[in-house]
Amino acid sequence: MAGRDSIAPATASTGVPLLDVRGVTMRYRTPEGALTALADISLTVARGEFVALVGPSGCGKSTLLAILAGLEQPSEGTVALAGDPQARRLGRAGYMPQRDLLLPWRTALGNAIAGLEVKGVARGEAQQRARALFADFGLAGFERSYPPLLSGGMRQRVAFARTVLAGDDLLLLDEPFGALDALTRASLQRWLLDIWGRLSKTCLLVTHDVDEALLLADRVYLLSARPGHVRLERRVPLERPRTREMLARADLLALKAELLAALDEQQERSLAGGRI
Amino acid sequence: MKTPLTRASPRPPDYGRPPDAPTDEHGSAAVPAARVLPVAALLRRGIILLGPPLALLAALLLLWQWYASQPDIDAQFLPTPLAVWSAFIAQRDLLWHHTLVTLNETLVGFFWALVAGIACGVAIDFSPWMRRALYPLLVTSQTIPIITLAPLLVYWFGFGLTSKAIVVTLVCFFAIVVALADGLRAADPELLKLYRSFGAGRLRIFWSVRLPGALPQLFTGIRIAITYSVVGAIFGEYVGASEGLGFYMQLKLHSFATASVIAAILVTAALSIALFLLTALIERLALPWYYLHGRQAGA
Repeated sequence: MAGRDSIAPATASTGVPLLDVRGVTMRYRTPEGALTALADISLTVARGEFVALVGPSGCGKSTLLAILAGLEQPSEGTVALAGDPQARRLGRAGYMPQRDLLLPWRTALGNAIAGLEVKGVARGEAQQRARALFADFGLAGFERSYPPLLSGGMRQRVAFARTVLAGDDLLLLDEPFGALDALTRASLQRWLLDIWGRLSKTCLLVTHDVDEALLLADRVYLLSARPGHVRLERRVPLERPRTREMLARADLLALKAELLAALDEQQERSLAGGRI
Repeated sequence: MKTPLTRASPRPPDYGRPPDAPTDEHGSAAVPAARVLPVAALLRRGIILLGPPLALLAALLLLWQWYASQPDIDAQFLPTPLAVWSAFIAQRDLLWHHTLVTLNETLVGFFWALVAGIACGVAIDFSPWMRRALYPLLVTSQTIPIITLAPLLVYWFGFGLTSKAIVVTLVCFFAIVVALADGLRAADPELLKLYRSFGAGRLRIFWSVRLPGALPQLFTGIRIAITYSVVGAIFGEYVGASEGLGFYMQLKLHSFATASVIAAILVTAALSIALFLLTALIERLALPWYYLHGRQAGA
C-alpha cells in the first residue's frame, strides 16, 4: 500500500478556490465584555489542496473551523464555497472534531454512513460506499464491530471514513490526531499521507503540531494568539509521495524553525494574555 | 435557561478495550466482532451471584423454623416456614387467580405510565416552556402520598381495574419521565454539533442521537418503576377491591390465617422480582451495545 500517485499541485488548477475566506471576524459577548476570537482572517484553499492551520492554544482555530463548517456565522466577513458566499455550508463539508464521537450503539459501518444517512442516501448505497472505503482504510473485517471493541487508532479511522463520506469535496479536520498517543498518531499520519492521493478531496487541517503540518500539507497558515489572525503563510517545498525522512532536509528544517519560532512567540503572547 | 432534573445524571459507561487485544498493521489493537457471553459462563456467574444470598436465606429460614416451633409460640401468631409452604400449596389455585388479577392491574398501569412518561419526557426535552411548566408540577405530584389518594381513586373509579391501574400509573410515571428527560439532556453537545455539520435537523438528531443515547437511562427509570408497580397495585387493592393479592391478604389477615398472608407476601415478592428480571432481559436484548464491556461506570 505504498503511495502510488501524487496529486498535481492544486493551486496550479485554474478557477476559483474551493474555499475562500475573506475578512472573517468573530466576536462573542461574554459577562466580562466583548471577546474577539478571530480578527480579519483571510485565506483560501484550492480544490485538491491540503492546507494546514497552525496556531497557539486558544487562538480560535476550532472556532474558525466551526464557521467554515457552517455551524456558526461570523460577525463579519464572508466564507465562499466554490465561489458562492451565499451557499449553505452545513452538510457540504466533512467536519471532523478531535474526538471520534462514534455512536456506541452502531457498528463501525453504521457509524461510517451516518453522514450519508442524514443526506438521504439509500442505506444500501451508503453501505456499499463505506465498504469500499473500509478496505482502503485497513478496516475490512471490522464492519460489524462496535466502537468500544475498536482501538483508538481504528476508531479514528472509522471517524475519518465518516468524514470523507459526509463531505462533498472539502474536509475540515480539527486536530484529528490530537487525542491519540504518539505512536498511533505517527502511524495515522503515515496512513493519511498514503491514502491522501487516492481520496481526491480538499483538506483544511487544524493542528498545533508543526511536524504534522509540514508532513501532510501543501501550504501552512500560522495563526496569531487571540484574537486570531493570519500571521504567516508558507508553502511546503515537498513533492509527493512524501516520507517522514524528508522533514530532515535542510530547507524543511529552516522552515520548521521559522514556524516554531513564530508559534512560540504567539504562544508566549497567548500566555501573557492570561486567557487560554 | 434550562434547569437540570436531578443533580447528577449517570455517566455513560467507560468504554475501555481489553489489554490483550490483537494488533493490526497500524499498530493499534482490535477485536474482530461483537462477543456474546456463552450460556455456560452466564450460569457460572449466576451461581457465584446467587450462592451467598441463598445460603444466608436458608440460614434465616432454619432459624425461623426453629424459633416458631418452640412450644410457647402460637402457630397462628407466627407460623413456621413449613406451615407457610403448606398454606401456599393448599391455596395455590386461589393465589394464582389473585396473582393474575394483580399482574393485570400492574401491567395496565405500567403501560400507561410508560406511554405518559415517554410523552412527557419528550415534551420536556423539546420545549423549554414545557420543562418550566411541567417540572414543578411533576415534583409536586410526588409530594402527595399515594396512600391519601388511593381511597379517592377507588371512590371515583370503583372497585375494579381502573382505580388500581391509576395508582400504578401514578407510582411509576415519575421515575420514567425523569430518567428519559435526563437521558435526553445528557446528549454530548459535540455529537450534536457533528450531526448539525452533516446538515441534520432537530428531528433527525433526536431520532439518531438523542433518543438512542437516552435509552440506557430510560431503562434505569423503567427498572425502578417496575419494582414500585406491584406495590402500587397491592396498595390499591388494600384500599378497596374484590380480588387481587392485596384483597386476599386483607381477607386472610382478618381471619388470622397468618400463614396464608405470608404466602401471599412471598408471591408478591416473586411477582416483583419476575417483572424486574423481565425488564432487565428486555434491556439486554434492546441495548446489546451497552453491555459489551459490562457496565463499569453506568447507572
